[in-house]
Amino acid sequence: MTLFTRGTAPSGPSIELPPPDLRQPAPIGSPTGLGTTSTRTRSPGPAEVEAAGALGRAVIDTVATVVAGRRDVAEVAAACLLSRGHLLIEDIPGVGKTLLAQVIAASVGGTFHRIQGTVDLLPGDVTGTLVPDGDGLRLRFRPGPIFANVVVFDELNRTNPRTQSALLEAAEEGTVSVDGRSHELPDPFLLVATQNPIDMAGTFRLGEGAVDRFAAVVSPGRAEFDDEVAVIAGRRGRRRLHEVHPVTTIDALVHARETIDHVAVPDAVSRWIVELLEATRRHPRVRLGASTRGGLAVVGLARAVAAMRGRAFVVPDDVAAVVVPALAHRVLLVDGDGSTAAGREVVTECLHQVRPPAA
Amino acid sequence: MNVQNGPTDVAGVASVAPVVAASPRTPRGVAAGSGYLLFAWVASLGMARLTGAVPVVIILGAGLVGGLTGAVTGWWRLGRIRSLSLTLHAASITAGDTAHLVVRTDGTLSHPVHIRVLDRGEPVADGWSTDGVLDTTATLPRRGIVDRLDVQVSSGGGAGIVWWRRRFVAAIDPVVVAPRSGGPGATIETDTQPTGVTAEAAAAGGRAADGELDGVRRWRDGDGDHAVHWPTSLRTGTLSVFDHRRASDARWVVRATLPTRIDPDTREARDAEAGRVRWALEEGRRRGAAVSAAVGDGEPTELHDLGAIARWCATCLPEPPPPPATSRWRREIRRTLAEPDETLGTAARWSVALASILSLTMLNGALDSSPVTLAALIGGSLLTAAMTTGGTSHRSLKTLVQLLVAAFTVAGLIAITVSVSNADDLLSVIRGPLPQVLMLLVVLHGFECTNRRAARASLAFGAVVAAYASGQRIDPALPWWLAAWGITWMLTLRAIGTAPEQRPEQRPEQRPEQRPDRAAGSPRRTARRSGRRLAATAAAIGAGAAATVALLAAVPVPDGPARLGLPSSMETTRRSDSSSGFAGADGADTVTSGTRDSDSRAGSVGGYPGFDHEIDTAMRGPLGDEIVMRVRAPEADFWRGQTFATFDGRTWQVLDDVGYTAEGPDISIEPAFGDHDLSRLVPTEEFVQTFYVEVDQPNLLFAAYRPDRVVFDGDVSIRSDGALRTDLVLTAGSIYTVVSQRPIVDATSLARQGHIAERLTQAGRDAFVMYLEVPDTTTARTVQLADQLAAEATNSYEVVRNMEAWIDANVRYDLDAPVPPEGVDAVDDLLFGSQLGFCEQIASALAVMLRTQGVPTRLATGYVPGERDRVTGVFEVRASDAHAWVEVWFPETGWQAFDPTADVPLAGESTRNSVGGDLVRSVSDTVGRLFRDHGRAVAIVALLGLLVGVLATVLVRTIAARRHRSRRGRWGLLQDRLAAAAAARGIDEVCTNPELARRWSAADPPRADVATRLAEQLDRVAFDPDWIDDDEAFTRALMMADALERRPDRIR
Repeated sequence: MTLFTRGTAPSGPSIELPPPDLRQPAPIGSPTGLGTTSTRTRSPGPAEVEAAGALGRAVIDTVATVVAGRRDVAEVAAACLLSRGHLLIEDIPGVGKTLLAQVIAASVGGTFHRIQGTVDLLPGDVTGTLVPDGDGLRLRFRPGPIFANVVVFDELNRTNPRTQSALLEAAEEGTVSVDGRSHELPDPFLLVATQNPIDMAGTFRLGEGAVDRFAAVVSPGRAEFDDEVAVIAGRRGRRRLHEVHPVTTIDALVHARETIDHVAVPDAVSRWIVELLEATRRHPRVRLGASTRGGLAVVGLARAVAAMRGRAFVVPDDVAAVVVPALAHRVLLVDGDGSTAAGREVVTECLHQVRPPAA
Repeated sequence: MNVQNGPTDVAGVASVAPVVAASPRTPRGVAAGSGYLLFAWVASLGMARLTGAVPVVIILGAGLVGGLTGAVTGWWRLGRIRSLSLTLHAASITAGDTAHLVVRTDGTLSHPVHIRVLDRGEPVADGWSTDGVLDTTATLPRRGIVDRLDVQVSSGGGAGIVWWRRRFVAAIDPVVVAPRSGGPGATIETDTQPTGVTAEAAAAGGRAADGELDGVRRWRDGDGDHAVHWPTSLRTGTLSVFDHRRASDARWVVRATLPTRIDPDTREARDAEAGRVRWALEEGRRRGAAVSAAVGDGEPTELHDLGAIARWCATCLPEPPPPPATSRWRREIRRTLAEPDETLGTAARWSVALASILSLTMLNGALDSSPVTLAALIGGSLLTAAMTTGGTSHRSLKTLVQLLVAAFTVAGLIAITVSVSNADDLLSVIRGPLPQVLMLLVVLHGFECTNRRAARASLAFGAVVAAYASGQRIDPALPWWLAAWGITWMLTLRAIGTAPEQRPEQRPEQRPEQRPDRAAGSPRRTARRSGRRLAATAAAIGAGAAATVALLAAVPVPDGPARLGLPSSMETTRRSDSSSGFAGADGADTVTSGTRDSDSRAGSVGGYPGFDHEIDTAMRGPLGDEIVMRVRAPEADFWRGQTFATFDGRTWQVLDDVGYTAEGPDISIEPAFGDHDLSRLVPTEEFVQTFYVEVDQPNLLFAAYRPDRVVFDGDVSIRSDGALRTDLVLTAGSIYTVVSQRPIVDATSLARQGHIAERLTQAGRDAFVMYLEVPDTTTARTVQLADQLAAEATNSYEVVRNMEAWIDANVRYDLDAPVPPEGVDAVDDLLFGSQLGFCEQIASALAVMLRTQGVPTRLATGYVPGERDRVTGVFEVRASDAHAWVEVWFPETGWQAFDPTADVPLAGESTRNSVGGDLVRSVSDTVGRLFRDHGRAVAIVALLGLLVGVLATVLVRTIAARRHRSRRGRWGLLQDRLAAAAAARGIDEVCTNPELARRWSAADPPRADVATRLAEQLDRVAFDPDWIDDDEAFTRALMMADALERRPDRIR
C-alpha cells in the first residue's frame, strides 16, 4: 500500500492546454484591434508640439499684459493648464492672486466661474444640489459653480474642510456625485485656487491629501518696484482685465493637452526625477517626502514647459523649472508651519544636491 | 482637547557643534594579540642567544625597527586632525533609538582612522572613516539632556598594534534623550473633579461616567445647536447646553518613586522608573487627561504636550553619582585592550596562511623533513584558511575534515610522544620533537584563526618557527626565504590591522550628493591612487630595511651558540674501524688496510691526503671544489685538524701516541702537550664553532686552535697534539660543536719572549726532541740560509717573520708545483731548486729552517676558513680550502700558528664585523657579483624591465583613457569640458546645462550666447530621442567649447 505519492502525474492521457490569451480584447469600434493604443500610434509631429507650445506661450503673454512681472509664475500656470493640473496660488492678500487666476481664466475662454470661499460655504453650494423641479415632488440637479471650464476658487482655506474636500475630490475625479448620480465636469477643467498663508487669522488648514491634488503651488510675491509702478499707473492690473480676450478655444486646448502627453521624457530624466523625490524623502528636515503623485505632476508640468520652450522632449532644465512649485507643498516638514515657504527651501536644497543628467 | 498619538521623537534638527576642546594625542592601548608578538620577539631573542645565528639577529633587528615604527605611526597619522565638527540630526529622541550623525574632521586623510562618539562614557556611534567624514547612525544610550559628546579619533598606524587617540569634546544643542516607554507600573493619582461643572451639577451630587450627561453649562464656541438645554436657558436667560462628562476633564498626577526592594540607586532602576512614568504620562494623554508629574511627594508639574513629557522624563530622577573608582582601572584596561575592530578580512586571513606556509617551509628545510610532511603542512594551512574563511560551507564535508584533522593530530602527538620518550636530555628535545610540536601547533592554530587576536598569534608562532629555522638552517637559500617570509609577514600584519573592507550591503546609505561624483570617478584617479599606495608600501619597506641595517650596524656578530644549545647530531652510529686511531671516510683503518697509492688513498677528503697518519710532501692529489663542511662561527680562523711531528725530508709522521679517550656528548679537553700550565698565563677568548659535515670525512674533528670543549655524540680520542679522533664515521649530515679558548696574542707578546732556543732548558729540549729533530737529508745550504735569516733577529718571532718574508719573496705558491725528484730533500729542492711549491712544501721548509735554529715546530693540517655567507654567518669550506701550515712553540703562549702562504691575522689583532655591515656587504657583493659575472645580462634585463614597465603603464593608461572616452562618448567629453570650463569660472554648483549657461551669461556676457547654444546642443544630444549624431553639429559644438575654454582676457 502506498501511503503517499510524490511527484507523480495522474495517470491518463495528458492534455496540454493552450496558453491563455493575454491580449486585451479589442474594443468595439476599433478597426485596428490595437485597443487604446490608437493615440499612441499617432505620435504628434513637431508642428503640433510647436502649436501646443505656442498656445502656452500665448497664455503667458496674456498674463503678462495684466499681471506685472513674474513671468516664471505665469509659465508654471500655463504648464498647469496644459498638463491637466490644478493650480494653487498662495500669498498674502493684495498681491494679485485673484487677478492672476482671473486672467488665466479669461485667456482660455470657455465657461468661467468664480467662487469666494467663506466659512459657511457648504459642499452643495459648490457642487450643486437637488432642487424641487417645478411644483412636483421630482428633484432636479442644479449644477453648482464648479461646472465650468475654469473655476477660480478664491481663498480656499477660508472655507471649511468639508467643502474643501468636496471641491478637490470633484476636481480630481472630474465628476460630481450628488444623491448617487454622478455628473461629469466639462472636459478642459482647470481649478485655480488661492489661499492665504496658513498663519493668518480665520483659516482652515488644507490637509496633506487635499493639498496633494494641486499640481503646483506658486507664490508670486510682491511685485518689483517698476512693476508696482506700472500697476499704480494703470498700465497693468485689474483695469486691463477687461481687455483680455481668449487666446485659444476649448477644442484647441484639449488638443494641445493630448499633444503634450506625447512629449518624450528620456529615461535619464525620469531617473533624475525619482532621485529628486528620494532626496526630499531623505532630507533631514522632512518628515514625509514627496509622493509618487508628486513625481507624476513634475513630469506633466515638465512636458508642458518643454513644449512651451519649443521642444518635443524634456530636458533637465524643464524639470528644474517646475520641481519647486510641484513639490514644495507635498513635503511635510518636521518644523513646518503649514505654509509652503519652508517646503520651497527644502526642495530647492534637494535640487542643488542631486546632479542632473547630462550628455 | 488636543490629543496627539503621533511620533514624539523629533528628528531633523541639526545640532552642529564646533569642538570646544581637543586633547593631545595619547596612547589608547595595544591591539589584541600584541602580547603574542612580544612573546615571539622574546622567544627569538632566546633563539638568537641559543644558536648565535646571524639571521635570527636580523629578524630581531627588523622586528625591533618594525615594532618601534608601528608604535609611532598612529601618533603621526593623528597629527593631521586638529579639530572636527559634529552634526546630530535629532532634537528629541528615545534612548536606544537611532539618529543620523555626521562627524567631519578638518584634515585631509590619506589613511583610515577610527572615530568613536561617546556620551558620558558610553558608545554612541563608531566607524571607520577613510576621507575624514563619518556618516553613520547614532544611538544615544543614556537618558538625560545631552549637550556634549566626546569624540575619540584613533589610529593604529600601519601595523595596527599600538593605538593612539585624540579626544575631542563637542558641545551640541541640547538633545532630550527620553527613556523608553516602560509599560504600566508607575504610581498614578487620578483626580476626576470636573473642571467645568456647574453649581447645579455639583449640588446634584454623584459623578457620572465618561460620556454621560453631567449637568449643564454655559454655551461655548463650538457647541452645536442640538445640545442647547432650553429649560435652563429660558430660566437663566443665558444660552446653556448639556454638559457631557469627559475624561479630558480628569487630571492625572504621575509620581516617580524609586522602588525600595531592589537597590534604588542604580541607573537601571532609575531609568526603568522614568520609563514607567513616561508610559503613564503618555497613557494619560492618550485618554485625554491633563497630566502632571512629580518626583515622590513633590509638587506636580503640569505637562502640556508629549515634548514636555519626554523632557521631564529625561531629566527626572537624575543619575546616581558614579561608582567609586576602584573598578575603574579594570574597565580601563579592558577597554584599552580592545581594538576598534575584531573582524579579520578574507585577504588578511589568506595572507596569514601564506606567512605560515613560508615559515613552515623554512623550518622543514632546516629539519630536512620529507616532502610529504611539507605537503601535509601546506595542505593543512590552506585547509584551515579555507575553512575559516567559509570556503567550505558543506556541513558534512566540514565534519569529515574535522575528523581527519583530529586523527592526524592524535597520530602526530603519539609520534611526538614516542620521540620525546626516546630523547635523553633537554638538548635532544629542543632539537628533536620541539620543532615538530611547533609545526603542528602552527597548522592547528589555523582553525582558531578567525579574529585579529588569533591572526596575530598565528603570525607570532610563525615568527618563532622562522627564527628557529633561521637558527638551524645554514644553506645559502636561507636569505631569500627569509626575505620572502619577512615581507609577507609585514604585509600580513598590515593587512590584519587595516579597516575592514565594507561589503555593499553593510555600507550605510549613500548620500545622494555623493553618488554622481563616485560614478564619475575617472579611472586614472583610481589607478593613480593605487599606484601611490603601492609606492608608499615599497618606500615603507625600503625605509624599514634601511633602518634595520642601521640598527644592526651597531650589533656585533653574535659569539656563537649558548652553552645550552650547542648543536651536535650524528646521522649514523656506525663505528669506524680505527684500532690505530686513523680511519678514512669509509670507516676503514688507514694504517692497517690503506695502501700507499695516492689515488685510492683512504682518509683523504676531496683528494687531500693530509688527515692520515703520514703525509708525503711530494704528493698532492687534485682537490675538488665541493663543499666539505659548513662552519657557523663569529670569525674566521683555521679549522685545524691534526699535526705532524717527525719529518724525514720527504714525509711527515704523526706522533705514535693515541692519547686519552673521553665519552661524549660533552667533552672537556685538557690542554695539549706544550700548552700545559699556560692556559692561566695567557688571556683567552671563547670562540664557538659549529661544524656541519657535508661529505663523508675521516674520523677527525676540526677545531679552531685550542679546543676546550667538544659537543659530540660519540667517543673522542684526544691525542697529545690536540687532534681529536672519534670512534664514529663522520658521515654527511653530522653536526658537532667545538668551544675553543683562543689565546690572545699579538706581535708584541710574541716578540717579548726572545729567542726560544736560548730559553729552552735541557729538559725542555728533551721533551720537545721530536719537534726539534732536523732530517738527516737537510742540506748545508738550508741550514746556512736559516742561520743567515736568524742572524740579525733579536727574538724568535722576528726569525719567523724573516723566514716567512724570504719564502714569500723567493718561492712562488703553485698548486701544480713539480714533485721533487726521488732521493732529493724536498726542502732543499723547494728553496733552491724549483722555487715552486704548495703549502705542505712551503710549510715544511719553514718548519725545518726553524728547527735548525732550535725552535720547536710542527706541521698542522686543516682548512682555511673558507668563504663566509654574510647573511647566514656560515663559512663554506670547500675541498680546495685544505691547507697545511706551521705551528711554532713559544714558551709563554704555547703553540702558535704561522702560515707562510695565507695571511691570517693573529687572534688578538682581529676585529669582529657587525651584523648590519655584513648585511650591506653581502647585498653589495651579490649585486657586484651579478654585474661582474652577468653584467650584460643584468643590464639587458633591467632595460627590458624598465621598457616593459613603461609600456605597461602607457598601455594601462591608454586603455583606461580609451575606455573612459568610449564610455563617455564624444559628446560626453564635450559635456565634461563645458563643466570644467564653468568650474574654472567659479560655476561649480550642481545645476542643469541651461542654468549653467544663464550663470555664465551673468558672469561673462560676451560669451553668453555661445554658452547658451552649447548647453542647448548638449541637452539635445542627451535627451532628444530623434537626435541623429551629426559631425557638422559636433564640429560647431567643438568650436563653441574651444571658445568657452579660452581665457576671458583673450576675447576681443
